[in-house]
Amino acid sequence: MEVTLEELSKWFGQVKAVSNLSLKIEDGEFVALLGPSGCGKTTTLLMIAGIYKPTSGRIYFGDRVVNDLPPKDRKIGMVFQDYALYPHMTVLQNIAFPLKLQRVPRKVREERAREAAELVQIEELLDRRPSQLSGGQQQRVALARALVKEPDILLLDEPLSNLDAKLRITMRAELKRLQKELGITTIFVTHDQLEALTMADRIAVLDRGELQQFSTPDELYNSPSNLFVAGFIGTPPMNFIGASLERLASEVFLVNEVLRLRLPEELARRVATSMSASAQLVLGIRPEDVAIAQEGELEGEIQVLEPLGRDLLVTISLGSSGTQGPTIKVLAPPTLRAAMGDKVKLQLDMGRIHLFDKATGEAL
Amino acid sequence: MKRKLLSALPYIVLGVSSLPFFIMYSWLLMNSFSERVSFGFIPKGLTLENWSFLWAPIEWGLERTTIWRFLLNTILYAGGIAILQLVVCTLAAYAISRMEFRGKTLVLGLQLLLRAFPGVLLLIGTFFVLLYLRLLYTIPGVVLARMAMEIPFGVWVMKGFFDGVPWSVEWAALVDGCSRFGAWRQVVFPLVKPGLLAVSLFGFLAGWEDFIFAYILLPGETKVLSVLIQGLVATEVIDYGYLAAMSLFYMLPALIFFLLAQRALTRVAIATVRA
Repeated sequence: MEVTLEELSKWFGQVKAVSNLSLKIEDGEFVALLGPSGCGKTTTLLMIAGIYKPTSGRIYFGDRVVNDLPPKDRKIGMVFQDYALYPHMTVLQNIAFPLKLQRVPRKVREERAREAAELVQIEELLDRRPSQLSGGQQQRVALARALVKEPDILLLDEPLSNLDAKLRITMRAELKRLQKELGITTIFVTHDQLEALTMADRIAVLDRGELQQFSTPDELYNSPSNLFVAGFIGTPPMNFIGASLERLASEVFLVNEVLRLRLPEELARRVATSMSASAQLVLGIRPEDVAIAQEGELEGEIQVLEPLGRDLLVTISLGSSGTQGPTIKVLAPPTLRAAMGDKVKLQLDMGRIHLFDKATGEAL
Repeated sequence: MKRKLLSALPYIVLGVSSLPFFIMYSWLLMNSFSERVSFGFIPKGLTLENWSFLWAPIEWGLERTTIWRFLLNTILYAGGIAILQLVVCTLAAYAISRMEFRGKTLVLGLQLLLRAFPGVLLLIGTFFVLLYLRLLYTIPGVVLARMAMEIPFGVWVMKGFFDGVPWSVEWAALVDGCSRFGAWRQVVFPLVKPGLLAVSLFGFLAGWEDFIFAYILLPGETKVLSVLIQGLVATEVIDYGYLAAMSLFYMLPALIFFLLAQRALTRVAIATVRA
């Protein structure tokens, strides 16, 4: 079942929670709605579920406008952030509840509930009450309950955020495997970019109710379309350095108090056409695309060394001695011999730099 | 020695302060089963004569009516209040708990204020309201009047219970296939049952113990037990034994109801979901 959002907006009084959101989600896709708290992702999910009514815009399931369709007629399954299990029913009754409402005869619905329970591996918990279950178990009950009626669309609201770190990693893989196996169009909400990157086929990044970018994890990581996406995706986050353009003959330079970078031809050409002579830009470069080397375009002084096991996260203050430049973080191999206060040279992978217009935040 | 005295202190204080109650109730008990009582305490002659109202009609000069009639009236009165209160308070509390509407804070604040307000002051006004509604001197009328006084409390209690049911559980029910009302009936209602029990219990007791409303707003023939007992006191010769027995009879159903409800209340297991 495809889901299409067309210019969807939601106002709560004077507050605009979702602003002109347009998305098309393909059948069987695993899509993430990603963004910081308050960006409108849960509100969007609840509108898709039918619990909130959009202020304007349309939601399509396939070809059908579902704006006025109540949740019970939408053929959806939903897992809430706090799982929302019915405390006065056993696990089996919880899972079978949607079928009970469809007036499925008891034997059949218990059978199907057992099957759903097996799918998420909680068969031995069927007689317990929700209060007797751990967080991870409750989540799986909620999942079984959502899946038992074989919905067209599965909605998940921050499904992993209440789980401990280890369980989170296990469930990430579990959910992804399950989704691929069942082929149900799935939309899930998260504020954890790593979760989104690992699980989703495509990610819609939202900020303050507005869509920033809707692409595959790869594209979001390697070709972010604006400053927000670039800074939000990727851990450790991308480094941002403010600079201005300088043109000299046929070459274009990025200049600020501590650097003077010559832009490669392709990039130079692209920038020259779209930016005026002395425009303010932001240079973005990921920590893994900067290397500490013998020679390089930049130089700086090591401020902090943080061993991460697999890598070494080095905080470097740019600029030759005397100037106080911007600070960037660099991922170095753990074998690096260096200490705080060392002066180093940095080599940038010029093929992997990103340029943004400081005023609009858009990528160039 | 001092330590012993200190630890015994709470018991002493509680014992002394509960002594009057103990004395009162034992007075009632003893008076109801004895012919005469000397010094207000020592019973003389055990008898069941005082309980004659259970099988013989009560004599008031020319009238002869059995106690069962009055018991029925009282049950109808208290029961009516309990049920009506339950319905009104639950629906109101659900709306207040779940919905945003203009004047919501005002309504809530009023509930608190009205709770402190003595309903008796409104008696005269209520009399006329019922008169114009043609509900004066009828049990439904006085039930409505009395029950209205209990609404603030009921709403407050039920609102607390509804607030305790998270939105997500209702939403889950909607997604699973319930209509709005179905979600309420199947999911929310079972979770607020203790509240319902508490509200109906308090409503019933409020009706059972009420005197002034029943006295003023019901005609002479339609009495409830409280009015009946007051009527007995107003005769020239007071038969204390008879009075005590009837008072005990008046207390008993309320006591039993309370005990039963309490057991049901503690038996209801509210499973709270660990977040």
